[in-house]
Amino acid sequence: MMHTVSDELLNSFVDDELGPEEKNELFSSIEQDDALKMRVCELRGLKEMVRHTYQQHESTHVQSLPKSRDWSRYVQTLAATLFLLMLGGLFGWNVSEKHDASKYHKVLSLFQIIQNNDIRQEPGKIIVQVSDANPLRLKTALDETENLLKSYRQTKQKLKIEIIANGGGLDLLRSDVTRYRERISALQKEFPNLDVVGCNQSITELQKKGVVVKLLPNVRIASSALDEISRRLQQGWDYVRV
Amino acid sequence: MKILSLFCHADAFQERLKQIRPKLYRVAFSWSHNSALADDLVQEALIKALKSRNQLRDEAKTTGWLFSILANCWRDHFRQNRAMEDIDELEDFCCVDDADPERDHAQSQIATRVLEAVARLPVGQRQVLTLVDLEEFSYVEVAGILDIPVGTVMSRLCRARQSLKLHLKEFAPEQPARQIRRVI
Repeated sequence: MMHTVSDELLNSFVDDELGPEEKNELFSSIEQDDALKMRVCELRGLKEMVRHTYQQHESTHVQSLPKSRDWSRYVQTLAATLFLLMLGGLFGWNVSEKHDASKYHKVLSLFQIIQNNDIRQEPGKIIVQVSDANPLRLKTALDETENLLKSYRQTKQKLKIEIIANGGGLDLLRSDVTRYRERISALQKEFPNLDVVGCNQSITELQKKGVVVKLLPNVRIASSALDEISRRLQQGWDYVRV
Repeated sequence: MKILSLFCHADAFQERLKQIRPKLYRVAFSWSHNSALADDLVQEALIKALKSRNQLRDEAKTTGWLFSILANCWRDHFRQNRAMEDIDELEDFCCVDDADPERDHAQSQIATRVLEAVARLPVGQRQVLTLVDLEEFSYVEVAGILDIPVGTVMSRLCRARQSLKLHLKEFAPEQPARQIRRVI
């Protein structure tokens, strides 16, 4: 019989982490010891309370990932994947991964890598995600997008850019909040290859909180930022998160 | 045929992501206690998964792999927003959100108290607790997801439950009377 049973051992018991022998030994100890029985009971109760509490919390976002595709899209997907595998390093794919976690200014280098790349023969296709209301990030997204558009134009290269705003980043596109109404409008006029998109899930989220959401004119609405980014990735676009 | 099977795998992978998404959200919410942030984290994790799905060698490990990505996204979120030089600080960091709107959704007093108690836990303990209790991962799986030793999983879990017990005392089953005292 066990004389002292550690909390770690009891946790392992309630989490079904023990082997048959240890379990049997503990069962017989519990049989003979009311205090031990109570400790097990408390742990099981806690576990159940935690589970019960968080089971009530489901995402309010209606989720959908791209489903079935026709043959041409399969081929596109495969081609895009191969293309990205070959050129991902050059265009900062890996850099994007590493820098997701870093400060916003690191994004500049990512833009520069894309911008300085002169190997690409195909039209550039870049989706820029803004999900943070930080004014510096909003400004950076616009500054760098504009630089990129101008740079490609100067070198007579084709480029498509899509800015997708979700979460706090939606502030960029909200007509009553944004400080960039005129600038975005001017950019859209000057560069028809710029698409500006808002995330419907983020809009719905705000509306549930009683916020009236009005977006700038000529802003397209996507069902969700995730869906939009997934779709673009499958089409071979590069992805930058600001 | 190989190409065809690749396509089938691509679809199966997306279907798998779709199935796991609610679980990812539940855990992300339990870590952040913020529905918008939880959605962002899950979204980011899924995008990363889509981008790097060819790194997944064993499909049986998809769930653990996705939760690892989610844990990395959560870690990155802290790096970005808390400017912690040493990421180990994250493990001891408590982020109690006093103005937590999610409290409004709590359906019962117990749920509210549990949310409060979990919010008081250091992040490292909270992660371990929720992965074990909500998603029923084994200790070894949790160690793999969070990239920490199994011993650390056990000690964090133990400390987490001790703290919860303290904060939720009133909901715990009452101690049976050991003996009846006779008053003469």
